[in-house]
Amino acid sequence: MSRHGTRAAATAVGVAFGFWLAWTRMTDFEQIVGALLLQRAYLWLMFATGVVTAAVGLQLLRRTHARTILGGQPIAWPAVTPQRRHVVGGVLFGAGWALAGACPGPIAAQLGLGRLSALFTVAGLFAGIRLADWLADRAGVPAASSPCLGEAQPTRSA
Amino acid sequence: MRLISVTCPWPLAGLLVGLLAVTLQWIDNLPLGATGAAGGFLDWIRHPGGAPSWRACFFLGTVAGGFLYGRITHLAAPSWGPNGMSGSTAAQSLLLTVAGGFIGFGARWAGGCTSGHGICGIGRLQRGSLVATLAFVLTAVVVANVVWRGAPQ
Repeated sequence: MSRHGTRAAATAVGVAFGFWLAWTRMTDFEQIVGALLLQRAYLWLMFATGVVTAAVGLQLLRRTHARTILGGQPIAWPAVTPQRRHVVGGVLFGAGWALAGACPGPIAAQLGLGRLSALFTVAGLFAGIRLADWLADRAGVPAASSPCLGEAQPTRSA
Repeated sequence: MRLISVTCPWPLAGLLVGLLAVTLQWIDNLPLGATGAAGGFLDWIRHPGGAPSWRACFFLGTVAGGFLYGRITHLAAPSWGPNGMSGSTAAQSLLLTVAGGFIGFGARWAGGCTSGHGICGIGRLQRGSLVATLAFVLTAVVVANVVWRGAPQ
């Protein structure tokens, strides 16, 4: 199992994701805020299609007992049970998403597109992540069970 | 070439992002998630001695993907950016910084954002992801309607 392989693959999928974000205009304020004002259907239709595609694909991987391409492990993911942090964090994130008209993926892609305003958004993004990590460490709260920070990454120890 | 210079049709857009989540899972059980990626990048620039994590690589890839799109479609010239946001440049800078703080704190606290919880987490049928997604979508719709409805766009 090659860490280099994982890094190379993650970079390649990241490039595809950034390209996709720009192509779908998730990097545009009007696209996001238009959806949130319920004036543009694009984001909601794309999102629904994406969730269904991911769900079908992931179930297929699991039910056909596919193994990971790098390392040949069984396909698996952690269970994520609802916690208070999902609601609290979700509400705060939702407020920021609506105000900026952007979320973390699009902010990264905006940087690549040369949008200077994204320098401010990304500065806030990094500060917010640091603050959350610091507070969680200080309070001894384990990272929220999550798809992003699931079992793949051990819980931070203070 | 013409297809990529206009907005990707939504059925194709949804199919592609779903397949990206499936691809990462298939490669090495990795979750698609931009907040985890940004956090990994941040860890790496704070401790630059070691090799970047796969999350840091994914973040840098996302930036590079935006750059690539800009080059191919000739939209790469630096510009200010948030098309349609009202207010002076100074007011926008302040708003984006504060909003970025909410985005980073909230998504990290919740353990994911629109990609990690929304696409990947719900796709994995993780109940916590559904709860987080409902929380941020409902909040965002309310906040957008309070702040931006009627604003010149």
